[in-house]
Amino acid sequence: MNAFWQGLNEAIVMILRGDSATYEALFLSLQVTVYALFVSSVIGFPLGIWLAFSRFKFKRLVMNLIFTFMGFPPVVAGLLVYLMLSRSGPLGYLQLLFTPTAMVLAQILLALPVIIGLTYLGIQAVDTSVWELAYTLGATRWQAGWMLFRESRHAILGALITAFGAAISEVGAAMLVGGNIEGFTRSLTTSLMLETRQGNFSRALALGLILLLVSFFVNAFLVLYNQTQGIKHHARALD
Amino acid sequence: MPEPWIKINQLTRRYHQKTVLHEINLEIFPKEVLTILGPNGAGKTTLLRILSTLEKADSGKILYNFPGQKPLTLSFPEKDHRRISDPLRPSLLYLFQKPVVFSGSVLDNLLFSARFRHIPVDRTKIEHVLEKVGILPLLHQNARSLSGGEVSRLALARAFLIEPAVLFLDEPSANLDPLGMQMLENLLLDWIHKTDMAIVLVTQDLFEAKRISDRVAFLLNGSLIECHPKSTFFSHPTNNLTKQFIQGSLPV
Amino acid sequence: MNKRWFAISCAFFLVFSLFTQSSAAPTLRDIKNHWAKEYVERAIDQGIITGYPDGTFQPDRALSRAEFATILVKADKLPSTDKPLPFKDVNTKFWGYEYIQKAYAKGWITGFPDGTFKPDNPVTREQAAVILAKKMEAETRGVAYQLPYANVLDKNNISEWAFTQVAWLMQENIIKGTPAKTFLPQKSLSRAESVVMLLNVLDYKTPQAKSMILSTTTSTYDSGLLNVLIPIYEASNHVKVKIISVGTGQAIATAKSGDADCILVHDRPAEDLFMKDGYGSYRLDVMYNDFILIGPAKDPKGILSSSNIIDAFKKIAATESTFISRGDKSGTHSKELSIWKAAGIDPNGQPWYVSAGQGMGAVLLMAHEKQAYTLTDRATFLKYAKDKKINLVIIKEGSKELLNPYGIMPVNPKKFSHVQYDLANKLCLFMTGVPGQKLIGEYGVKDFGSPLFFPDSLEYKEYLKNKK
Repeated sequence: MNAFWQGLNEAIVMILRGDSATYEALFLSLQVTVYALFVSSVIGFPLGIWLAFSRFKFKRLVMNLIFTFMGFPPVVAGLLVYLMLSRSGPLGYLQLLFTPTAMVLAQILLALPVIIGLTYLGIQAVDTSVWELAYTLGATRWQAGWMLFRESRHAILGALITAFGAAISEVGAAMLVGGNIEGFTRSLTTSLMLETRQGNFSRALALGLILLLVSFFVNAFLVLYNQTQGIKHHARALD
Repeated sequence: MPEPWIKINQLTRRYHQKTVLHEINLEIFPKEVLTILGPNGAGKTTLLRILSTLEKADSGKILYNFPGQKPLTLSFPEKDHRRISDPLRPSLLYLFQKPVVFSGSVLDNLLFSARFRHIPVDRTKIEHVLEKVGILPLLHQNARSLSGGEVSRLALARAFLIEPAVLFLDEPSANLDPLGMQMLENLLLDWIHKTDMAIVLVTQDLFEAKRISDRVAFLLNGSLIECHPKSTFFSHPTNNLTKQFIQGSLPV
Repeated sequence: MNKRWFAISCAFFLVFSLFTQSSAAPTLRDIKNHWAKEYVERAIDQGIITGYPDGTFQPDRALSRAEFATILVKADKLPSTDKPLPFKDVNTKFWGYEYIQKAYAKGWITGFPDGTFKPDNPVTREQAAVILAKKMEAETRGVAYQLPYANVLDKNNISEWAFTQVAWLMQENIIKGTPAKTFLPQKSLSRAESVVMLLNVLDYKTPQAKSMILSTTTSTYDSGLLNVLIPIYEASNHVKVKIISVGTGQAIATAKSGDADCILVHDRPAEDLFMKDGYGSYRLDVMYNDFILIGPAKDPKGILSSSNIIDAFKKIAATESTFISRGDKSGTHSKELSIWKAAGIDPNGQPWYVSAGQGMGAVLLMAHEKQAYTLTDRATFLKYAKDKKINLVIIKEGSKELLNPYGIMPVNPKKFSHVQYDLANKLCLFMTGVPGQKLIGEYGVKDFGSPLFFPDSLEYKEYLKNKK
């Protein structure tokens, strides 16, 4: 237990001192995850909404696949992306292996099913009469769909937060497709792995603490933003 | 006798092998309250939903003929009935049996309605309609925290804001207390008096039907048994089943 | 009338010629057909060097050390300094004192071991090279000298203290050899030659950095050796080396799929197969370290008393002492398996045999926690033992079976046309060249008391043989 407290102590000192390698890793982790989430949201939210409304022959199979991919083991996602981007692979000519872009791609593979699946479930959970109410009030199908989406805002937020947490904390895929190259593809999690492997526990602990702090602040921001969106709408109505 | 605004011809709707509506023939005229009576499961709600274009039917025709608009006929089965019935929507409004609101304040709910219908937003107008239904103090309150009765009034306020040609009410007494019901009836009658609006009201409450209807139709197991002006309907119903329903002795 | 016109036009021409000559110096007599004519003229223009008062330049005359320092200082227009000169033979009254002082203050010149500067001695070509390299603040130790020296027949005449600098300047095209494929390191530098060199230095633009990928094993990377070697290579060659450190199997697979340009591993059978299948251009020995058997200090079952490593393994099996294996097809793992095989034992499935499937560091920590035995490379062990992360001791070492040789191979550009063969080739040459090998041999001595690796390239072994 003594080693733990010592490690924790060193960790706090390190964070305050602003070690450059650590902050480099921090910014890389944030950049990669934010890009991945953005792309996943742009594709995933509309897809999730559409799936919630659509009816087609193999829908159940498709939903089953999406739910399965929500629990995709990150290492497998990493392996798939690796094989695709490798020089010997189909997309090798893009020369994306061992770059931050590859890390973004792997995280999209992980985050996208989560966002699609949770959006779908979130909308399903909302009473469809909201859609009908909007429709009877003259809304177009898209406007009515938006009202339904609006009702499931909280579920959507949950999807974002879940996807963010999963993406930023995964290490297997990042290690595989990024290569943990110093100053280039070394994220918080891959640094953590390296420090642990080399037995530098206090430093590894510091990185873990930073990761938790980042998650904490990002989630706080998301929740606050969600709340202010409601107030903003209200304010707009008064003029 | 003015021209009917809506003419329903042999309207049939099947749902899961069950015939919910069977060859309904009915007309709806302006400036009248048409009450559709019937027990549970008679198909009343389905009829209203089809007439307000929320749902489609399986066969039959509905002719919509509003003044100042091109007449439009929906012939079922209609391939893209929602798109085709689009021009009709400003004239029709269906109020749900179970109260539904958007999350947000009462004000937000009305603003959404206005936006969908492209009605210019006017603070005075909104306050006016809310006052009419008696819920002006609730302007900024969270709509999801309202009681059933208050939501019904909100739905009514929406209707006043939109001013449709035909208003379909699905069992309004279910959620309103007697005072609210009285207010509703007064408002509706006043509205019809001032405009050409038609109201189609669905209810199981005989007294309500007696109070405000111009005509009454009896729907049972998907079939329209008979339809007469109010006085005739209650004093001299032609069908035995109708008689039994009015007496309250209809076997379930 | 004609006489007056004549006088006026003469005066006019005189004045006119004065003006036109204001900036350009008259072409010095003896460089009109010299091979360095344009360089000399430029240098004179820039005020770096002047001709002699008698109108000559004497381009092939030897330059003295003081004169060389002077033109270097003049080219850079250095500010004055008051740092005193430590040279016995240069006093403040010397004509070049100020220039030598400035050059010394910048660290370009150091003088001789006996405290003299010998200002009037002619500067030799190799001395000039060293001074220029200092001026350029170049890291020259990382140069793959074998390449520029391929056409230098007298490279063995170059003094050791100038060896990498001359090679680097040649690589950067700042100095050239003679048409006779020699460098003539101890020959005096001529005035023309010095001008050409200096202008090349002034014109030099650092080329844009390229990047390459080196695939290596976790134990190699974790030893920290590459953190010393690679930056030197990078600085000398304007390269950014991206290092992927993974298990041996994965390192080789990465190279085989063309995702790395060069591979440094320690698994001879795998390396031979890599070459046989045509994935590598060539293979060079780089270094070796050795494996050691480590275990609990208490050594309860007396493994320490075994006569050799194979006996030790037999004893571990016989006493059912806990043994942690890498279990990840790494070089260490292969070595361990070969020893079990030599001992005639199959440890798989035995309750005392723990197959970890992790890197060397993780396995050491596991062995520490369980106070068990394991086979490790000396480098990783020394590093971990130093920080007192593990409480284990060396049980057996030194047998020939325990040698762990490293090989380096550039990925074959015939198999993957996109690989950075040129850069990979230079890296291999650097690591197996004499300065690189010396760096390898020095690593760890300061921190751990003994080197972690032993340089073992063919070239280095030749070099040691010739020294004797």
